[in-house]
Amino acid sequence: MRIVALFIALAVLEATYFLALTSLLVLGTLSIVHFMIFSAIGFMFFAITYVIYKLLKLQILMVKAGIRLSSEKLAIRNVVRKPRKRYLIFQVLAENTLSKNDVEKVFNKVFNEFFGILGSGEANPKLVLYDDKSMRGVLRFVHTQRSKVLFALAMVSEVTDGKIGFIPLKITGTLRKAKEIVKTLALD
Amino acid sequence: MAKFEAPIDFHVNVGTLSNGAKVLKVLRKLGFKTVVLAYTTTDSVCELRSLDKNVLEECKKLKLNAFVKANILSENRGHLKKCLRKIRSKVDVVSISPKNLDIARFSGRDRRVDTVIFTYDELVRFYDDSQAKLMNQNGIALEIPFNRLWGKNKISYKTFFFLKRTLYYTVKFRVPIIISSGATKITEVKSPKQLTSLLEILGLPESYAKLSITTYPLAILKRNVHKRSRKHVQQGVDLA
Repeated sequence: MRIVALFIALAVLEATYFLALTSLLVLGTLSIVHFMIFSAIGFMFFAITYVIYKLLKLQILMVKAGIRLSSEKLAIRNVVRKPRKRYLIFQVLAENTLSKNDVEKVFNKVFNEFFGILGSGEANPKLVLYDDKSMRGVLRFVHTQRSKVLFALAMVSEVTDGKIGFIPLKITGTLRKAKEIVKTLALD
Repeated sequence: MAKFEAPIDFHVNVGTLSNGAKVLKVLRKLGFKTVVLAYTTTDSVCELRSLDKNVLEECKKLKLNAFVKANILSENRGHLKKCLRKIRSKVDVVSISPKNLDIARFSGRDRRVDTVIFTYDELVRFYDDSQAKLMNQNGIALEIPFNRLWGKNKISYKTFFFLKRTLYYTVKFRVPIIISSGATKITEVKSPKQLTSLLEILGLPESYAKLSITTYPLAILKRNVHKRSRKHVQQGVDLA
């Protein structure tokens, strides 16, 4: 917009220049030869201004297209990102001991309630390990959906009126490391 | 000398030591370095419930930096002013849970207030663009306790609609937002990542969501500790 305004301003300036030259010729203060020379210079300036204006416009268009392309590339890169696995070690806090089935049931219920089938498909959460005695377990999910899984864990205590609480302790990249950590990590 | 370390749980209602010790232990294990112990005052005398000194000692043992917060529940502006006058100098942080629009607007305007606690009902009824503008002008933060956000009835989609609306006003008017656990018992304790996940699932980037448990609460604590120090004379006037 600024470039268009600048071009119009320059065009008006050059038009005024031609008007001044013509009036000087009519009044007889400028000879025909000089008029021709000054007019040629004026035309040359106008042509240069026009070319620069077109070039700048083209460059702006190219930059815009480039930005759009890069944002599209970024979006596509996010879509085609290989879903990597993450393992979340968590501790269950409850008055009674819960079995693996109970824990899986509670978590799946909460996750489906908040994120539905689509969210479950994206995150693909699965209870891999669970120890009844220590009430610690390992949950597998897709690395891009970390916040959804953590939120679902936080909502367990809200849905069950504070009877059951899931506390995330650590997130690892391999199951082997998760198993090692489950043995050592404890809230007490 | 008080230490200022993040992450911070800005609202922990531990009460007595018997209940609190375990909660504090879990908080430390989850990675919190600072906790703000909240005490609620509703009575007409505006007296804080006697602070359980054992709880503060337990925090010291666990190497948790502890600060005290008064949460004022009020429906009357006169009562609220009286409470603020009495309590402001005794505690590190002052929060208000507004019960009507008048109190909500007043708490957004008064500089003695640090945070305004909005639960589900209050977010729906009082938090709009005027409230956000007021809070921005006076540097008052919006505090959302995680466990008091979901209402008494079944959790519905409307909660997320109002949360999204709240975020819109908060980001538009640059109101600092603080997410706290509001834990009263051990099952309600949340880890720092769980707290920030609330903002992340609503569409905020992780770096912005992190500010709600680090930078914003730290700024309030620093400001108030400085205000209560002997060097402070008035806003902008300090002894060398």
